[in-house]
Amino acid sequence: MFVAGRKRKASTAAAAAAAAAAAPRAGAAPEATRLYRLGVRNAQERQFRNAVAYYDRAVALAAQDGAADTRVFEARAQALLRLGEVRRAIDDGRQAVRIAGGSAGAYSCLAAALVAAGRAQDALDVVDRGLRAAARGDGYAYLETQRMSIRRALDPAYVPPPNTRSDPLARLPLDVAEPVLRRLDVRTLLACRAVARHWLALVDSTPTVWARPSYLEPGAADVLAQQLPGCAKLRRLAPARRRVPEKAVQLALARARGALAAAHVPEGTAMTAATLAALLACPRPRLAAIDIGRGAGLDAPVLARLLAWGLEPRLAELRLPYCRHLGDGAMAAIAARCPVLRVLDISGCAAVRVRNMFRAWSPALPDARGSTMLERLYINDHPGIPELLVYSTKYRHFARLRVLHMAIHSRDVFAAFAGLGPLLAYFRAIPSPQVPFPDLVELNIDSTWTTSGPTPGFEPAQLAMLVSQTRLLCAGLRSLSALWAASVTAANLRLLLQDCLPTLRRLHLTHAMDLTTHLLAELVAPHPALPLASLDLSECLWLDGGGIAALVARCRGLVHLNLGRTKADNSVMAALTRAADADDAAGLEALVLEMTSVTGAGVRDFASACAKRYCRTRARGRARRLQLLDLDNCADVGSDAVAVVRDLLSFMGTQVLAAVQ
Amino acid sequence: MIKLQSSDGIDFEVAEAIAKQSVLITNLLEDLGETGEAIPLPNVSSKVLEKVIEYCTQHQHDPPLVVDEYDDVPRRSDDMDPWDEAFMKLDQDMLFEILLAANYMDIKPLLDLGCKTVANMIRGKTPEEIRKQFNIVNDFTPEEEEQIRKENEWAEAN
Repeated sequence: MFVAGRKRKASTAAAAAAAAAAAPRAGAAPEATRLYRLGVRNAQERQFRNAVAYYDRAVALAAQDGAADTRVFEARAQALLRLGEVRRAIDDGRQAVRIAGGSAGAYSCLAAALVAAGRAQDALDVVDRGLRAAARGDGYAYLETQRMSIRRALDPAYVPPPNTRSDPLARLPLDVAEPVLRRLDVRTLLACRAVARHWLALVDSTPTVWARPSYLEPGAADVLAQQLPGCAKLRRLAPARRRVPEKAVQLALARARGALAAAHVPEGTAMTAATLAALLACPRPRLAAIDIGRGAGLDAPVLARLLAWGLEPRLAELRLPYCRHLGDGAMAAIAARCPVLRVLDISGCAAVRVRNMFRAWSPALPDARGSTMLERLYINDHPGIPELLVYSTKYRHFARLRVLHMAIHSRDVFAAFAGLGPLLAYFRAIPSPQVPFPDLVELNIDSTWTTSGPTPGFEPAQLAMLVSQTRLLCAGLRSLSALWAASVTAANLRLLLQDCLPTLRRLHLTHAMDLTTHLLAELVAPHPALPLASLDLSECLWLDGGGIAALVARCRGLVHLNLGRTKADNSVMAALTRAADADDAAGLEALVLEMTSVTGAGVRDFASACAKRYCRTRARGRARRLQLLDLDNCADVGSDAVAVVRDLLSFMGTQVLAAVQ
Repeated sequence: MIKLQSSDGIDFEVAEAIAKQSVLITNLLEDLGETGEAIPLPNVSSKVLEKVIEYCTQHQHDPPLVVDEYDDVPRRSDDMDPWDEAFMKLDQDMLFEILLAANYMDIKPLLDLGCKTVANMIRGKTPEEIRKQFNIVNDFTPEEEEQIRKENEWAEAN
């Protein structure tokens, strides 16, 4: 299958460049190289099981040709070590040494496996053999370093000479080393603690490094899933986030001490008594943010102690999502004690009544027309969303909001809701309704325009009507997320989008049944160019290819594009291919085309243009990599076309999905 | 034009706009006035100074950095100034030298770029990978190592 694809496309420049970039070594099949690279990418994203699986296939494939690649064995040994499979790692290390007698990397890899097995003396012998056999070059200096490490482990009296040349923490003064460490996440900081004694001492004795701890792990797939939340598949492809243990949080808090700027407990980590104690033990002269992730399980007394500790006059950010015990009393305290609060997350805090929030903040405001300092409000999954919209049409409490998230992920919060009747009557009687949030830049109204049936106490149609009539979308909006917007009418769409379309950089509008080709053409016609960088129109079933192509052709800055389950066809592919050929376009990072009418030829031309673009941009030092191409269930893209596309894109590591159901 | 003298006695003549990206030089010029004499930089060798001037020449027309905290447009995840990216492709020794020079001469954007580059060399790595990256000897005793491994359980587990 691959051979056929390669022959057919071999004449194109892109394929030639692809072959050159893949640089297959003599005897080894390009497919083995491809598998090896996939393994390396998985290992980089800490998917060691997957990585080992790819390496296994690469080894098996190479064995068929009677070839063997030391790199694959070294990489597999490293991945196996991370999985704790020491015995297999040693075997692979031996294999690597056998194949490449003169490579320092192979010896170093075997020695590391032996050390992990507790066989330090054997490891030392291997290193010595390596130092004799290996040519000075890559990895030689490290082999020497490794030798000193092993000697140190065998003989505590041995003191290795200090390395002030290539060790950044030994070489750079603290005022340079500190900003380096400050940029690292907690997991990496923990790794730094285990590097060497002076690293441990420096990391532990520099509180500013722990002041704003980040628990996010680096990984590219994760980024895509966040950028296109409308594509549920990407979340499944992304590595599962592991729960951060309380011990790691406590360790970070204990080291931040008086430098603590953000009291952060990551999502899913329980707020245990020990964590609370560690938190309350921190002096708070610099505390500016409290961020307790969902699932911390704050009970009422713990919440009370936390707020008594943390509601400082300079607090700028307070995030307590899905905190059942946060109620009106706590909100009143927040309004009274935190005059400069800019960020507030009360998503799912059903006990907070929004009308009481307006009351709580009123005395704190300079006059009747004043506004709070709040700039970002996250009030997802909250029964008070309708009240927020209605009261903000009358009062200016939240008129400074730049970011508003009011998505509905779960209807459960509306269970105790008595219906919107009286509120709507009040809304209609407001004498001169104002634009509620005139400075809004980012708005998330996912699932507020759904059609699915009413749940007890809640009628989606009424909320949808409110969202449409409160003039939420205004000029200057840069990001609009409205997933599952099935019930929004054409008239409302026109009204809402025509003002903000020229400034939108992110538009995620899915399932919109009334978004027709005609309407879209009317909306985009006045604008020869649009600044959209992220566009998701998936499941907008009444958009045809020509309409989408006209929009896509106007967006030179597109980076993420989801057209899944639309009528996107080759006219869209032609527009995307032209953009890939043009150097002034940003270049796509992810393209989702599942269940569309694109054909093999259209996709092939696009892939070829992307490959050429990659070579071109890489030569200039800025490689533009297409990370994901989703062709699942595209009936007109045959398996041979998929093979060609995979072949064209393999050297830049694009993930090509092409399942057929 | 302003003359700068490296630690090994070589003079570099640069335009004022280029030299003034260094807060150290700006302050010296304010204090001393323009005397026409070379400003000595005893902590910076000519090899390093050349690179620093290359960076400052490239960025002399940069507008002052305005941070718009609401400007989280979807950007490409691999986006970095291509010139900066190419500039930072240095051997480790030179990279550290430039960091030290940027710190001494007080050139904040260059210092930021350097710190970012070094942080990227560390991020996501295991202790062993970090040692390998920078040729660091593991000087923990097995007992100490075991102790840290216990504290770091989460970082070690996969």
